[in-house]
Amino acid sequence: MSKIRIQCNASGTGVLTIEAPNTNTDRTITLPDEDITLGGGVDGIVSSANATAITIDSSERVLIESSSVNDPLRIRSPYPTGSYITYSLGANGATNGYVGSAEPLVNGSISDLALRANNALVLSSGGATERLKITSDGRGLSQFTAKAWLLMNGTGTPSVADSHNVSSITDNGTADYSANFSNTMTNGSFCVVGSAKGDTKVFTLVSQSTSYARCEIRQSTDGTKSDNSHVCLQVFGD
Amino acid sequence: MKIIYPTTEGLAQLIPAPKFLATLEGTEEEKLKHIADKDLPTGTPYEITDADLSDRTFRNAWEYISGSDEKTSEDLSLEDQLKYNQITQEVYDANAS
Repeated sequence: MSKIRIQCNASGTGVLTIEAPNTNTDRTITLPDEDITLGGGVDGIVSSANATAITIDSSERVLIESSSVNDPLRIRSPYPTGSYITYSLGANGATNGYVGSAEPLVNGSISDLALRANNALVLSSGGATERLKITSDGRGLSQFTAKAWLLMNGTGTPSVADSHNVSSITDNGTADYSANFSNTMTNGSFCVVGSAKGDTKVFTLVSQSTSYARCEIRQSTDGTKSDNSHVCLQVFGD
Repeated sequence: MKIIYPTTEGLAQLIPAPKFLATLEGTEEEKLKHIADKDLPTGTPYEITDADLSDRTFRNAWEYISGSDEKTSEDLSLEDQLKYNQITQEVYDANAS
């Protein structure tokens, strides 16, 4: 049989009291089979919860003000009544996560808000409807962002001054250029907007497919094609 | 460096976008070959050249004449086709071994 020893401190004068609760049920304090030191109270942590406020379950999921969820971490705070803010990381143990909120996620001034993902970053609204996806190669896929854009010089040896989602340009002939997309469009029904430098220069869309948009720059005065030093092109659509 | 190839209208030149070129690995010729395989129809004859074609006088009269360094554009790998959104994940899964 193991024994219990209560040892007094020879230097102290205080009285240690172990107090029983007001109960008619037998209770047992079971100590672990190891050396431990009980800590004192921690300033700044006060609990007046009348139900489970923090749960760490056997799967090492941490739930605060929440229950019956499958996320490694979920913080739920009723505010205001009938509403809540939820942060969930790695839903259902998968590598994807989400941040949801019934109230503005950031309320007040903030200098920077960084959202990071190793793969695509997806913003949804109206439930799970995807509204904007930022791909790992830097493209913003949505109905309101340009799928591709190009600024090129069509004079001399044609060159690309700057671009987005354009892998190359084709010089088809005098003032006849194509922008070849790095990542093809989902279908050929997309919008091409363009311009060229000069009061009498007219940007004309010749043809388009999922992989390119072809345009000509013509003189508004007589319709002849004329090479241009600032040809701009933007693409919106799927 | 650029790519020249024949068209029904004469000669076209394909000029790489610097930002896209920077994403590729290998020698400059290997990068341009990749762009040719990506942006030209499969089976198109082409040449990689650094010839000065800046004089655009009579541009529409330019003709392509096959040279000793002529290459032919090929299909991209399935991985690259998927990467560039040329095929769907379903097509990739059905054809990948």
